[in-house]
Amino acid sequence: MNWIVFVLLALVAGAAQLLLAPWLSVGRAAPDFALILVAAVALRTGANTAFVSGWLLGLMRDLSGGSGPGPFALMFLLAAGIVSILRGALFPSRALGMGLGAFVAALAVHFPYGMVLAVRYGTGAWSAAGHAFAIAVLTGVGGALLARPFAKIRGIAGWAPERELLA
Amino acid sequence: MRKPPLKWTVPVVLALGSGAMILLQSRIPAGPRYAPFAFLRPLAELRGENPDVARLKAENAELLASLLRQQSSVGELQEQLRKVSAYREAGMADISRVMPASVVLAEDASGWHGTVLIDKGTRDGVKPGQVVADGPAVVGRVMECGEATSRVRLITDPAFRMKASAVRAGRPGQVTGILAGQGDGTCRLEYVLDREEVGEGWQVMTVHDPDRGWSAGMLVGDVVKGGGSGGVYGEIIVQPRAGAGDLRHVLILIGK
Repeated sequence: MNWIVFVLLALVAGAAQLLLAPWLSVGRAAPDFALILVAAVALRTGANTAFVSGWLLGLMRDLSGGSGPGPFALMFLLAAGIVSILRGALFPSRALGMGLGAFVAALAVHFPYGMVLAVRYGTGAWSAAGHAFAIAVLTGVGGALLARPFAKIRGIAGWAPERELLA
Repeated sequence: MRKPPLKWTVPVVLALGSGAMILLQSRIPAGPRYAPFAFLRPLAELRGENPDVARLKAENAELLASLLRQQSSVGELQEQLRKVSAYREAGMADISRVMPASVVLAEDASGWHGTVLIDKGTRDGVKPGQVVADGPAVVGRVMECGEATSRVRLITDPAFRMKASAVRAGRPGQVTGILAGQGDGTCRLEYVLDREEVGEGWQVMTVHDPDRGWSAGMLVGDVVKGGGSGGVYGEIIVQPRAGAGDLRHVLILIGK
């Protein structure tokens, strides 16, 4: 993978999260662009690259949140691992494949995070689960919409062609 | 391409690293230093604001304004209490009742007179002639009363007159005269007929004058210039203790 392109994509995802996601929010839930990128990378690269990129994106989320490094890095790592395991079953260049990958990644991050908050601060487990599901749906939709653009930059990003992934 | 088997070294190392960072957080106080990208957060305010956030911001601003109003009110009450306490501690025992008041206008609009407007009037029991003090120090007298406000003539007003005496702190000696305002923030003690040499270190006090409502021993000010031979009656310049410029709260001596 071309890490320079990855860094640029990470910055674009961060900017989109700040500027674009609030416009696309439904209620309090908004799509998670960083996890769309995690899914895109995890579905097109090897497991180790997926882990490292997911962990870095999670760390970026931690460092931009002010809550201290660690939690999101760990959960993004988990999400990258889960999506990487699903790699053989999903077509990343297809909207459905990317959408499902992003949905799973978002659920893998926001469901445990919501549960931790529910347990620690009493925010309510059901509302946390519903919130995580809503984020996952929106992220999945976002992933589906971005499947084509990601497929177009596959070459400069250094991602493997789909036929190789499916071989 | 054959899919390589999943190797756990990298994810385990990264997971341990994340766990270490999480544990480390409990040892270091949280703060903006852990959010180096937090400076990007204001960018989010460029977009349309969440209605809940807008509502909470409005509530917050309202609560803050309410808090500031209450703090201001508490500050004024504390200042009034301090002055009442100072008055009590000064041993003004023969006048038992005082009423705190706030100065709402510090200077007469005409500029010719040294007067202040206070926020107490006839409905509060204020009457013309009552003495106004700043703790144990004399400020002036009530000149005229409205229903809710009263005008106080300061001792520095050129039209102000009262009988006063100058005493030397800790030493024998006393001279008596008429205290008059000079219109420049100071007073002069005139008609001093005693031969005692008065100079710096002397203090001017009120003299018991029941007809005009004055009790003895209230502090008026300090002598800054002793009587010379220039004046017929050896005028003495007095700097009042109660300054009109920073006068915000006063006490009205209502009487027993």
